[in-house]
Amino acid sequence: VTVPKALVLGLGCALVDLLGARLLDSLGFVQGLLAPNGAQLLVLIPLACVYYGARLVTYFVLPALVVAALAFARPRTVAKKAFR
Amino acid sequence: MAKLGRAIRYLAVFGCAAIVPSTVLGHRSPEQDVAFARGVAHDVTSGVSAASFHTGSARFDGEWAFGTFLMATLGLGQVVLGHPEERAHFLPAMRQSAARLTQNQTNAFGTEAWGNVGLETLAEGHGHGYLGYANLALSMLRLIEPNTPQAQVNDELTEALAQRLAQAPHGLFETYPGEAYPPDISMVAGSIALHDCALGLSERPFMPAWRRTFARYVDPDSGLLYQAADAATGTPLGPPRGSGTAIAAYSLAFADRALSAHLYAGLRRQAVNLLGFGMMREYPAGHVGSGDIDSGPVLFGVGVSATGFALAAARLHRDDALFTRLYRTAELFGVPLGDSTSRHFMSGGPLGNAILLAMTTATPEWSRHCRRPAS
Repeated sequence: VTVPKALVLGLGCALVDLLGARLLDSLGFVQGLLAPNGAQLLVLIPLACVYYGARLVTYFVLPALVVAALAFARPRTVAKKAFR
Repeated sequence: MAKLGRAIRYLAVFGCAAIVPSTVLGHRSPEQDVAFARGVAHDVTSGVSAASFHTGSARFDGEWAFGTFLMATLGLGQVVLGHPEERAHFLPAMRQSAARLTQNQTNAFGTEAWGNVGLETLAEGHGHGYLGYANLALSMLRLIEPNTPQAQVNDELTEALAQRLAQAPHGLFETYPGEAYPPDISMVAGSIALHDCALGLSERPFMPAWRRTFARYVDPDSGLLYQAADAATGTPLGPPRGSGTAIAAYSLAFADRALSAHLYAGLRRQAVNLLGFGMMREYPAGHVGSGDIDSGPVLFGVGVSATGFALAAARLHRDDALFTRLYRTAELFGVPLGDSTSRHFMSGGPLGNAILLAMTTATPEWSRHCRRPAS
């Protein structure tokens, strides 16, 4: 993963984490899950899966991706400059 | 070289996953406790009732409304004990929650099970073990406000529960007809002790014998409390469980710190630590079970209720390391929202937020607020 890709992915997941929580909260996440209303569940469950997926990626995967991308970016940049 | 690069990547992934989330999550401050209490106070004063829940069972809807008022009263009381300057702010919500706990509508689930109103048959009644939960909340209110409007019902309920406990041949009486639960009885004992602490009364004469009898419901192998037992014979029914042990470790801390510590030692052996995130197994080794209304969802053996209730037990027994690990998990999946004015957990709902408030603010300092026994 390159640094720009890691940063874009990071920004995307962090945004989903930040805004998704507020969206689910405003939709009445817990009350919605408990309510026997199929239509509401059809919206809430996929949203919650995306949200929690993004949250877990944000905390557990992204930092490593960014670190790994940075660790491997420098030699490539140096190599490109040398080539030019 | 390629192998080295791959090894470094794996090391980076594992290292970051082990360090970053546990560093970022798991921090709380006293100001956040107060803001969280404001969120819960707002919930309970804005019309929570059994109709707010839709579990599919009228009894469970009623129990969840009851649980919301119970936990809110306990949590707000504990926040007031730690922040006396907030007393005037939270007392109205505590009074309102406590009043709702004693209403017939809130106790309809128990009335339906028994065929009579528990609070209206205190003198001659039996059973209704769930009233121990309400009484613990009333006793907490009593500790904060000794001359509370709920004082009389707290006194009458305490006397009735104490009488039932003293007369129980095996240290248990029924919550519902034919159903007795040691964790519920631990609430009964805790509520009596907290009432007596609030009034400066000495320990009741039957309590030492009750403690010895109650110890039989602790599984010697796992150190966990049996979730259910036969009140008539004292025979444990079903496996010992994490959720019941954790809530009993909390409530028994008001009645018998040593017994609570003994349960906590067993509970601690159920702890799972995954990258700095703490969880509690619902069933001990050798027992397999699924989730139910007590445990909440059980995923890979880890119980939601056991994990949540263990927060309080960890705080009461000053186990900061485990508390922080458990709190990280609550923060990761609960998702705190709000600001310095008011906070709540996105995935909590009224009941979950009230439980988290009560469990994260539990404090052994309650005993410093007891009235001195009259000499």
